[in-house]
Amino acid sequence: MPLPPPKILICDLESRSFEAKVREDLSSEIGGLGIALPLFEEFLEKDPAIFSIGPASGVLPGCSKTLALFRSPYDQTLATSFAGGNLARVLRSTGFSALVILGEASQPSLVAVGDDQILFRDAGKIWGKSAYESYREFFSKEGIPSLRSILNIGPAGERKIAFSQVLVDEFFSFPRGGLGAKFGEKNLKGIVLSSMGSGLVKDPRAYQAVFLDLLKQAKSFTRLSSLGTLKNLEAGQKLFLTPLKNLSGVGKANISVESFPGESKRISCGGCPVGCIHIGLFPSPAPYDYEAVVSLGSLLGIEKDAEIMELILFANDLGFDLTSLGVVLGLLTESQNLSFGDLETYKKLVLAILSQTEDWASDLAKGLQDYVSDSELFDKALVLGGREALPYFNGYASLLTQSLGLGSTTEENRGFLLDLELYGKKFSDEELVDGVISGEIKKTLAQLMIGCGYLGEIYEDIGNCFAALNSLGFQFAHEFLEGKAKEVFFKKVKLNYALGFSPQRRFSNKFFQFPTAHDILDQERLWKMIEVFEVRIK
Amino acid sequence: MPKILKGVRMQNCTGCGLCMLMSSLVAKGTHSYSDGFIRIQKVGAGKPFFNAVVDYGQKTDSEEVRDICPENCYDIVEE
Repeated sequence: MPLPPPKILICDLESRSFEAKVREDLSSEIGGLGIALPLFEEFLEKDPAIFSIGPASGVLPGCSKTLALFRSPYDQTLATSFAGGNLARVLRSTGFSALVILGEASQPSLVAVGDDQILFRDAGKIWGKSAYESYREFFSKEGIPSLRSILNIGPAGERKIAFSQVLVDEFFSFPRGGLGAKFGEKNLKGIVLSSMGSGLVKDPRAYQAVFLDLLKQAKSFTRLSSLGTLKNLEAGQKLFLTPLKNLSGVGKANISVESFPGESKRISCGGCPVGCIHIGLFPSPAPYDYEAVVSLGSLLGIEKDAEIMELILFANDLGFDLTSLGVVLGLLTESQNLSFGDLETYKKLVLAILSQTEDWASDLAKGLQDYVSDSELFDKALVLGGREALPYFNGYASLLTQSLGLGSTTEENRGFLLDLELYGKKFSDEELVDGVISGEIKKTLAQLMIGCGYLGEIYEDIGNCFAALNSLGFQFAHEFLEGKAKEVFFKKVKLNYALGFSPQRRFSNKFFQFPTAHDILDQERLWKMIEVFEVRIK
Repeated sequence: MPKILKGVRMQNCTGCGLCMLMSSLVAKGTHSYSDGFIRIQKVGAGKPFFNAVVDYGQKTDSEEVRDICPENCYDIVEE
């Protein structure tokens, strides 16, 4: 049986109207990125922010992510971002495969999606409040407890600062790409979804068998469970490749993977047994992961666990994207000859960026690329593909994927893993590029389903996807799934180019000064790899 | 004495909701987070801890639901 045609909810903020549509034409697109791309193109004129899920979202273990697709406030190119929490399972309960937010509200607004009604509410009283305070307001007043998902921004998003995020269910987020600023542009303080919906299981035995098999696979991610994504620091520490102090060197950060940050609590996305989101409990509960800890820790020379957690909490509450903020602060520290490691100075800088009153701060609103592009600061800035770089310094694939716009989070980027696979090996430019493309196509399969990127081995496996769909009563040939993943990947890349994206040609010399998993990198070789990629996508 | 499912180690609960999903499958044959006899609720804003609200008006002593919990939060006990 083929998939039923997806039901799409379209909310227009400008007219405060909505429409639910069943889209027969999208039923062969599987879900996730597959249905989001055509919707994005269709509504491009109205600046869409699209949230989409897949056929197994919320009902099979590890299929717990929601994709956000939108034009990035950084540079108007295509941005993807992925969040967990309860959003995927609640969106599924509503019966919609995608939520499309169009236009701009005339005043600060909240969109509340329920089973019987969709409401556009005034959020003027909450506008200006911190991210956590806003969440508390929504938590106490909106939706059905345990059957809802809450998305909200903080002041950084309201002020359209590109490196801002959207919080999801308080401890999760849509990071990178600037979804927070996109909400700000739309005058959208938050979205609350709530549903009592359910779906019949056609063949409970088959469903339960696949469910338990996938559950077992997910439970095998024991290091991810016990350490969260901070486990990725292990390789950097072992190989002395962790970027330090705005990449003024690489080495071993003064962070213990096993004991950071003291007392903590694990939480899970809806329908996932892993529990890889780790919450530091002091000074107040705040989530930490590899990117946040390295960007706001070693990249800034902050070494004390408590200080790193304090800065994470501070920046999260203001609604900043933690990875990008760390890179921005690193540049400011070096270019202004400030002292690395000074927490109080960093807090002042963050508040100055937020206030946007000084010229340098307002110049930063479009992100670091825009800030440094025509100045001598460029060489000090860790910018890749128009975004602040991920804090990995592993080799060619990591730099290449980011400069091609193929993933700006640990979850989405496959380059740093490929670099580690190639550690100590000789490879041609073509082999590396083909490895990148092959990894991207596998990743795209998971993004159709949409499985968690951290559990890549599960939903990047064609057999698992086939079994998952089959257990829900849907049959697709392996070849069709593989072909669709390939088609969607190339479609995404081409659409990004059509929106004005072009691969980075100019790089900070910092990237070519220190040893990586592939020794010291050669800029000309990186350029050649970009050329090979461009030939491949044609 | 009738047996019931009880959350006895809820300090370990990660809020994954797999027990909600499984209780719906066991009780109603649906995949749903609302049809079953368990609701997992966050203790409060700012708190990464969860409560299990069990509807004891229904039969709850399901081994499948107890065993699905990755954190071993549940026991089946005599009422």
